[in-house]
Amino acid sequence: MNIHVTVDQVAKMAPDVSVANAGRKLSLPKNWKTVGQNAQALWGECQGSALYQVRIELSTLTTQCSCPSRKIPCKHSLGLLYLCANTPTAIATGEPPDWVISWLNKRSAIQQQKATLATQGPTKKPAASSTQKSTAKRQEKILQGIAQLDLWLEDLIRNGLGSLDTHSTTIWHQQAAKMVDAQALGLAQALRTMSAIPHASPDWTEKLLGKLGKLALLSESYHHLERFAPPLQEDIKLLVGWTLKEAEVHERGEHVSDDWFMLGQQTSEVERNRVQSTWLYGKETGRSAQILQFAYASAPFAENFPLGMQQRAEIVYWPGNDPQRALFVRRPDMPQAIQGSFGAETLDAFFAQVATQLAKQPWRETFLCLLQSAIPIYDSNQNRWYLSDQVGQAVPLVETANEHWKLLALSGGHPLDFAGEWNGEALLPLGVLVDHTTYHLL
Amino acid sequence: MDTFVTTAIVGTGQANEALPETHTAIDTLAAQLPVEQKERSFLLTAGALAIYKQASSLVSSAQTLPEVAAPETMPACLSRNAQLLIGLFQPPYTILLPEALERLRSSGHRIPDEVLPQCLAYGTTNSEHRSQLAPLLGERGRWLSQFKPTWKWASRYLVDEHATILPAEAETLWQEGTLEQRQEILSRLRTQDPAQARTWLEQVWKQEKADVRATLLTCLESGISDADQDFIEQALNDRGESVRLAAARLLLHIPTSPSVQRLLARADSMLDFKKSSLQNKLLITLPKQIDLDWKNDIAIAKLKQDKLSSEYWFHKAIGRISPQHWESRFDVAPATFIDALNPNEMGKALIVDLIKAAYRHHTSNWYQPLLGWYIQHVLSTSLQPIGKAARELFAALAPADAEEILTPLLEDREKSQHPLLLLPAPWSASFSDKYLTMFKTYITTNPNDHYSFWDSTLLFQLAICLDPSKLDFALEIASTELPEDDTHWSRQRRQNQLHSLATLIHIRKRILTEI
Repeated sequence: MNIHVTVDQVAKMAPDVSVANAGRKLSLPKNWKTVGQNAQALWGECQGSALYQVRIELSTLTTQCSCPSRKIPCKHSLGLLYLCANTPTAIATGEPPDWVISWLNKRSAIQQQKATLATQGPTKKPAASSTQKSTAKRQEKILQGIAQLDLWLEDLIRNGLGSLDTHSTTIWHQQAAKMVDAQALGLAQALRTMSAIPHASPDWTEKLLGKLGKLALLSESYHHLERFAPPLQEDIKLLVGWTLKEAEVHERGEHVSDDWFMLGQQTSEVERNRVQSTWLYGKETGRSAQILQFAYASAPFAENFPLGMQQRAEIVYWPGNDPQRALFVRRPDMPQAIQGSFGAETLDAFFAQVATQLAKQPWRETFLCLLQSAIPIYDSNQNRWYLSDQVGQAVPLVETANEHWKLLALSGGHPLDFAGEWNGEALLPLGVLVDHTTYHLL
Repeated sequence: MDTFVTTAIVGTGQANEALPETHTAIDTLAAQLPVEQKERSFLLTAGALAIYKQASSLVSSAQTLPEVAAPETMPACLSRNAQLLIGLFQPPYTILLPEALERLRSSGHRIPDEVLPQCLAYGTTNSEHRSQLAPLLGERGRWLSQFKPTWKWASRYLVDEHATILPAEAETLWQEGTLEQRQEILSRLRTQDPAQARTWLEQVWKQEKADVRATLLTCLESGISDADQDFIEQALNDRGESVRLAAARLLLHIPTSPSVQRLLARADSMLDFKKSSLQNKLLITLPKQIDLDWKNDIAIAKLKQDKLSSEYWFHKAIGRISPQHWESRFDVAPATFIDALNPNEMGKALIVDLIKAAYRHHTSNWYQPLLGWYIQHVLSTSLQPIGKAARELFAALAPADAEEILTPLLEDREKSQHPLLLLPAPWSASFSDKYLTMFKTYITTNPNDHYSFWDSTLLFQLAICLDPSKLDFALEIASTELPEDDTHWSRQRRQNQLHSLATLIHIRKRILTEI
């Protein structure tokens, strides 16, 4: 079976615009030798300052190139994918050369090893007593940190939010640093996020108060962890900063196989750290999942996803109450075009889902919003964008530099099935299914 | 602002013993919190309230739904074509856009919805492409254009396959439409009923602003006749300068008008043709002293003041008079007249005037001899910039004649750039072949040349000019790897130029096969 990949999808895989442009220039058949594909991989040799060997595993879109670039996917890998998107006839089906077979075998062996580790757990577990000791030590540090945070929060609210310096973000970062010292990285991150709120909008005091209140609820919950059911305990610990290794997620998380719709992706940057969020929706289970990947500066993300397509895959959720974050366990099949419909019938129904999720995990900030028969609206007088459901209720769309013209053009005033991310205030469009047949990334 | 938030702003230290209520269901929970831990209780209540509000997000029903776009009459092109089109809105690929749009139009398809925002944005900043883009926008594109003031050009175009037929609502559009629509209606009416078109314009003349009057007046050029003379003569006295100049340009097409007769008299007094068995000569006699009346006669429109020389006004006059006037006045064939430019020191300037005049008056029997002389005596000896009029004359010639005139330039690599500027695309297979052969020789025998005469923009033009049957030959040439041992910086530049050319040719091949 030939891979079906579009120019849009390839562009979204690029680590930055310059690599995307350089890759596009390498999309001519003349740049490539020994190009081919089979059910597992796509490969080719590109003549640059040397002859570079490019191989791409089709089910995961994992790329590997012999060039020295630190950007992944490199321009050669993108060039081969662009060639595939633009001129699929230029890539014949055939037997892969040795350098592709050996890479595939190596990948297969690593994946096998990972799967074994995931099912059996780490081979060398540290002694139980040593683990307990270090856990207890960390717990003590965290509790001390939280006690200190509680005092600080109470001081802040006693003196009033009006006393906050107009411009300085120092107090948030100082407090975050103290939480880092206390090994409560989740709390540190929450504090850093709050530094952007003061004086940033007319209702910033209300927003900040809400965030501070939720942080207080989290510290209170951590103090009384035993009062909660084990899944919610997992959530609380994770939010405070107890992280899990991938193998632990494999071992303790819920595994779900489904045809996953890869609905869209967004990347945000916090102090040179990039966070990539990819939203999935399970066709059979109707469940949503969020795959998060982290990278420092221009370092590449570990995995690529066929956005705007569906793929049979097994994921595992982080342990928790109504979990949302997940990671892929296996993606053995080739991605295909999204088939089928999705979404709540009205915004009321969607917000009922939000309420249900919040009842299970009150600290959740973002939600996958799937809405059937939605209509985008542009209010040209106020330069504001909205999304309306089929009964005429509407919510605002996130204000972005590119606005939402593509969404409006695809709709033409007619309803379409919408996928987006709800952040509590506005919707960020990810994609739309037009006429229940064609999914467009936004 | 509610008391709860106000308390947070001023601080609980300033608040009463009892904390404020939230006036929500949260208050029942908050009542269970210890009163003595005021700050802690306040924060926990704030947290619960935030989650409560998040879970009961309010939606608005005040938004008015837009009118839906009308059903399409043309199918959208394939999604693969959409991907191809998106790439063409970025330079340098934009030079391929006209051909892609033309093929889309011929195939009876419209631009797909997802490409419309780029398309409208491109048409906004590149008005010369609007006439090609507008018919392909479909109902969805016209619907979308209403939302952004800078996109309104899209709905103003009268999209009609039969551009000369008046739409049923012609009179309404004339009365109430945008300036572009009114121009279009007036021009169409002019081709069908010139007198009626003039009457329509006369009826609204006094109500319009000067720039509108000037714009609409130019629509009378089509089908202009003696019957228009009185109206145009009146416009010569308009208070708006732009209107007077537009009227003067129109009058040039009515040779019997007194204004044109005065212009001809002035020009005749300066230019004479002397027949000789050895070499015909053009004799130019510029007046020593000229006054404002003299200049007004050449300008036709009234000038307030002017300090330009008699030589300037001489060239102005020649550029305004139909070359047929000289043909009949001196009883000579165009080639004979043009040949007399040779010994004249002003010959090179005069040829440009005559080309402008031929273009203005559509004097087609002069095109070939004018361009032949221009190529032989101007372009082959200098790198003089090529004017719009020369390009238009080449476009009006039969392609084979135009190619024949330009073929000699291929022998000189420094002049071989001119066909790229002058010869309209697409070229014939044989001219494309000749050009590519020259180009191949050039880059293989001059590998160290820095291609100063082949700047990227000009070289890229080659991608759209070539006959489709020669694109593979062009790709072969553009794939030439220049010598590795040449480490000069310009090698990289040359290689990049060739690489970009190859990319353009490859995309054009895709346009030709996929759209």
